[in-house]
Amino acid sequence: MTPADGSLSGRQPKAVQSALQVLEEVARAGVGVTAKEIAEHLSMPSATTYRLLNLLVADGYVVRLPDLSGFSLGPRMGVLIDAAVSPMVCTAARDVLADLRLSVRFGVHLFYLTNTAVRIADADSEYPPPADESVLNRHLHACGVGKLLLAEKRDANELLTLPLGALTPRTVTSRAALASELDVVRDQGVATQISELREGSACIAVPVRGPSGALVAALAMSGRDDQADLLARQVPTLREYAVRLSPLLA
Amino acid sequence: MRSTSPVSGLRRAQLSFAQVLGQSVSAVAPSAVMVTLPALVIPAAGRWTLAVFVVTALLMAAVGYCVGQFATRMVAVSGLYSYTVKGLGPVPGIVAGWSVVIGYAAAAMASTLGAASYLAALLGRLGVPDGRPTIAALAVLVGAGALLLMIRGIRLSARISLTIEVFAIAVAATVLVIAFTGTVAVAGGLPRTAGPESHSALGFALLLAITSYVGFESAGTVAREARNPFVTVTRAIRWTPLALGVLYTFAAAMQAGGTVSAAIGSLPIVLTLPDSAGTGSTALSIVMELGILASWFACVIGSTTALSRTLFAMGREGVISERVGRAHRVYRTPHVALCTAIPFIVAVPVAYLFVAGSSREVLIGLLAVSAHGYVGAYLLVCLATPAFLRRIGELTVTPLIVGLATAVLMVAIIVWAALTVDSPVWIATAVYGVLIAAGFGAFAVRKRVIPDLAHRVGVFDETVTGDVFADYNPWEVRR
Repeated sequence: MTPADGSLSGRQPKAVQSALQVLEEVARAGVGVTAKEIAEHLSMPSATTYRLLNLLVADGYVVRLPDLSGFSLGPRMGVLIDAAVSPMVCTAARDVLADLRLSVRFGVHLFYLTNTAVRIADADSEYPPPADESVLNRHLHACGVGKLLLAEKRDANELLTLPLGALTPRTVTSRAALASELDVVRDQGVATQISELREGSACIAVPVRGPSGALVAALAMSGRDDQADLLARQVPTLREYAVRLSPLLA
Repeated sequence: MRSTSPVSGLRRAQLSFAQVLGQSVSAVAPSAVMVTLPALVIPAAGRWTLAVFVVTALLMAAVGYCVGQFATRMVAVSGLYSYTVKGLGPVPGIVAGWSVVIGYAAAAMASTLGAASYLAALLGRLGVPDGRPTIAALAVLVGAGALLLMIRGIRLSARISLTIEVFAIAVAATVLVIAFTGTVAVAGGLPRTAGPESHSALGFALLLAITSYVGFESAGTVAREARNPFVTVTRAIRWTPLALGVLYTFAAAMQAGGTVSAAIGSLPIVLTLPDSAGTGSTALSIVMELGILASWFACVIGSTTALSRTLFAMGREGVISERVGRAHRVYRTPHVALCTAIPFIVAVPVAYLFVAGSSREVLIGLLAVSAHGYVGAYLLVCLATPAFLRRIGELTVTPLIVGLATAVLMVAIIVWAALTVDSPVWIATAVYGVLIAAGFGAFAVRKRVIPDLAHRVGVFDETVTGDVFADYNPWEVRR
């Protein structure tokens, strides 16, 4: 969080190890564990434990509960958890996707969405998606699926690295322009990219929502940029398949 | 656990560390202090002047350490008020709450008058008639300008107050160096004001020097709106007293070595450069006045920002009307609290000016009341620190000793000052007492309407259900 601390050169292994032990103990003990309990469980000096806890809280790996004495894992842990899980698609969902792939001559891809990232769950092997997962996640503002994720967030800036990087001359790099585009995405329930992610590519993505309305996945189609109009005509089909996929995914 | 924060409505992650620091520094108005206070402290402290500033810097750093214990553990919007509630409970908390309200409000009033007076003096050089009606009109202007900036967004007002405060400090430092090392100062030929007979007022000098640091804790009121608040707010509160101590000691050293003509006349309680120095000093005076004007204006913004957040929190709790706890839909600032506070901040000093006659008298009166509020709140927060840490089970030896020792030292200085001061500020003490009593009266009245009010005080930006990672499903997007 604080790159200004240039003096730290990884020469305090004990401090790092202790901080990770504290983090592990918060995870193991569950919601509401107190600082004193953590110090006791780890047989760590209390002043050290409190200082490490405050550092972990400052960076969001741990949160202090409203009573101010209990702790729990915090939002930054979500990034680690999300990275560790791998998307699994059940056979029934694969059949639905195969069905759709037979009916169109575009790439059909299923993405799962975590709280912070998009994950390729089932990519079309015949027409592969225009960019791989790590490119998508570093440029959420340049891809259809990424825009769906950003539009779902109350504060999209949490997931963006500023300034917004350009992959092509058409990539949206102005925050204001992106914000108004995300408003449209939120409104219409569909996101597109035309030559924003890679020259000559076009995509369209619709959300797949769980029974409670939570965004769980995205169904996308990719093609060439001159096929953008044809892709746009596929939105009703995509929506229909998204509805069919919903009970299979959430 | 709640699903939304009790102080939602204020926009998060708006201020960088520099801007949080700017909030603390501008609420202190250090450049106005640099050219004013040594002139008041030197006669009282004599050759102990530098020691007085060093000791008070360390004492305030100790207060900063205590406040830091809270700032690393909770994201407040009402600073010392919510801290004291969490440490000592609702009743001392209410005292601390009204104390900081009095402190911030009176400081904002004094700064408004200060800014208006200096603006009037500058315009006077252009031929605009100087006088109370001019000052009154300019005070309205200053208040309206500050109000617009603060409603428009905290980032804008913080950026502006930081910029003009940096300008003001640079000006004050430069002018001090030129005035007291160059030929300008020698021309005046005034005798040194520090006489050996005045050393008996050392206690008062200490208290006076403490008041030159007050406001440094106000970063605690913008924690919700700061980026990475646990780090930035704590750092700002810990380092501001020490940085100010360096500035003040420098200013005192410059002035103790040179000739000081202490505040004279109707307007400035700020050093007046010797008139016989000629045009050079006139140009210097104009630059100086611009610097002080900037500092006062930054202090209006700094103090009112802190005041409005505290009132906003009180509104959310129900201690005052719930309407005050509303935030602007677009700008996400506590606009009702700001619009309620600014008319008072302008009207009180103007009315006082018409009654009292001299700006100097009004400034001193308001600053004395303000200092009572701050010192009272500091005392309570130092006592609250060990109590709070004990309550959450995180008490260690250092905060226990620092908290208690600082509180004892502050009480000792207050008593010493009360015993040694020539012209006691009993009127300010009485005003402070009456206002606190009125605050309690209001609390009692509101408590009839809201029976669980005592449990509702002390709101802060607490952790909400969405931030806790238990029962976490990785395959869905949280809003």
